[in-house]
Amino acid sequence: MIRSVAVTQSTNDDMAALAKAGAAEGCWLWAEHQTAGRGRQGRLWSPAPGNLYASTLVRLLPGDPPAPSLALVAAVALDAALLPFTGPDRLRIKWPNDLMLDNAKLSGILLEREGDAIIAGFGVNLAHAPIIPDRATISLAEAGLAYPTPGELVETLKHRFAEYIALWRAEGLAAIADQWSKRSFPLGTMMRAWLPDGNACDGMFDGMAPDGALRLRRASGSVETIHAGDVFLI
Amino acid sequence: MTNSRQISDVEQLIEEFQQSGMRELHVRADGFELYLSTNGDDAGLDVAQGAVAPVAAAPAPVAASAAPAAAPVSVAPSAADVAIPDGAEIIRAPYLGTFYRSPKPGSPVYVDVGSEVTPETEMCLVEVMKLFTAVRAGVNGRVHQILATDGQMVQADQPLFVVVAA
Repeated sequence: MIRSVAVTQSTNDDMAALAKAGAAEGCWLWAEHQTAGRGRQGRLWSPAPGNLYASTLVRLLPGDPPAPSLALVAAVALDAALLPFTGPDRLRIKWPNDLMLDNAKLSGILLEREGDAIIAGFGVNLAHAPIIPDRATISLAEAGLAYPTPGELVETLKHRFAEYIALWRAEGLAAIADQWSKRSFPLGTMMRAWLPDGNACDGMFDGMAPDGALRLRRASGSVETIHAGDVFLI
Repeated sequence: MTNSRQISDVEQLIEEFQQSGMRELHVRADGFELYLSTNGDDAGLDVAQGAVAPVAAAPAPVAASAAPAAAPVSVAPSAADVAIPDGAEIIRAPYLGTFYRSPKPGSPVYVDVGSEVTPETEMCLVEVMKLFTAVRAGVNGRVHQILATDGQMVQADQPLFVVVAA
């Protein structure tokens, strides 16, 4: 089921309320306008008309792969939904689940967990790119690409997400990681990770660790394994 | 190496690794391969050269060859390291991740020492790979001790809070 609203504060908050009320996995909610959308660590995700603000619900089952790997499922699903508009060369996944168009941020994905409920929130710059002080942003419109309406994209994303959830459950994280790796930046891409303790780690992208963590190879040759942080291309 | 010599050498290597402050150590020589990590969630060597395997909840670092299995090397404190009053409850990390005491930088902490809590009280967030998990008290009581610092990497099941009866 896909629900839509004209205005809401946060589709993630609304979906969390629906989850608490017993909503089933696979329901979607999108808003034409979101007034208090947020990104990592509570950062505001600036609203702009014509962009996608949507959330969905996953109910964890016994035997599911580790829940954090849903961050990668969300990335490959959104990537698959956007590929028809961007083609494969301009669009890349940056760890863990940012989609970058021409090396600028096109989308953000934030997952939140309450018990067995995982809320996956998607923000995609379709018509407008919000100004974010510390990073380049882009929209499909600014890139000169044809772009779908939010409602059209949600419809596609719903199907792609369901397909990758099924793959995640049937074949585990390995199958998702394989797809993710095909669509990520090339090995050796220079990146900087700002870590939660405030320190930065620069290094060459060295792929994903078995649990989905980011591997950065430093100039010394040592490899840092990063589980949380803001990652930038440098 | 003979088996007994091999085991002795591996034990010595683990001991030196634990004292070194290094996060990872990968040794490969004469058909012998050993990988040690302080990361309790690290699934160890990737034999398939790039393939990614599902990870169990808290795998121990492993040696990919037939070498003797290395003991887990963990920096996470255990409940045994903490003085726990009788009847206290320990609130633990759901999995490896970054511990946050507040919803976002600069905002008030969820709870502090002395805070009264109910089962629904949100105690902290743990983030891994942009998945934020709300950790709730699960019990009634008062926060007696906070065992992790804001922004700290915590291991799965690491004690985070001690809650005593109010």
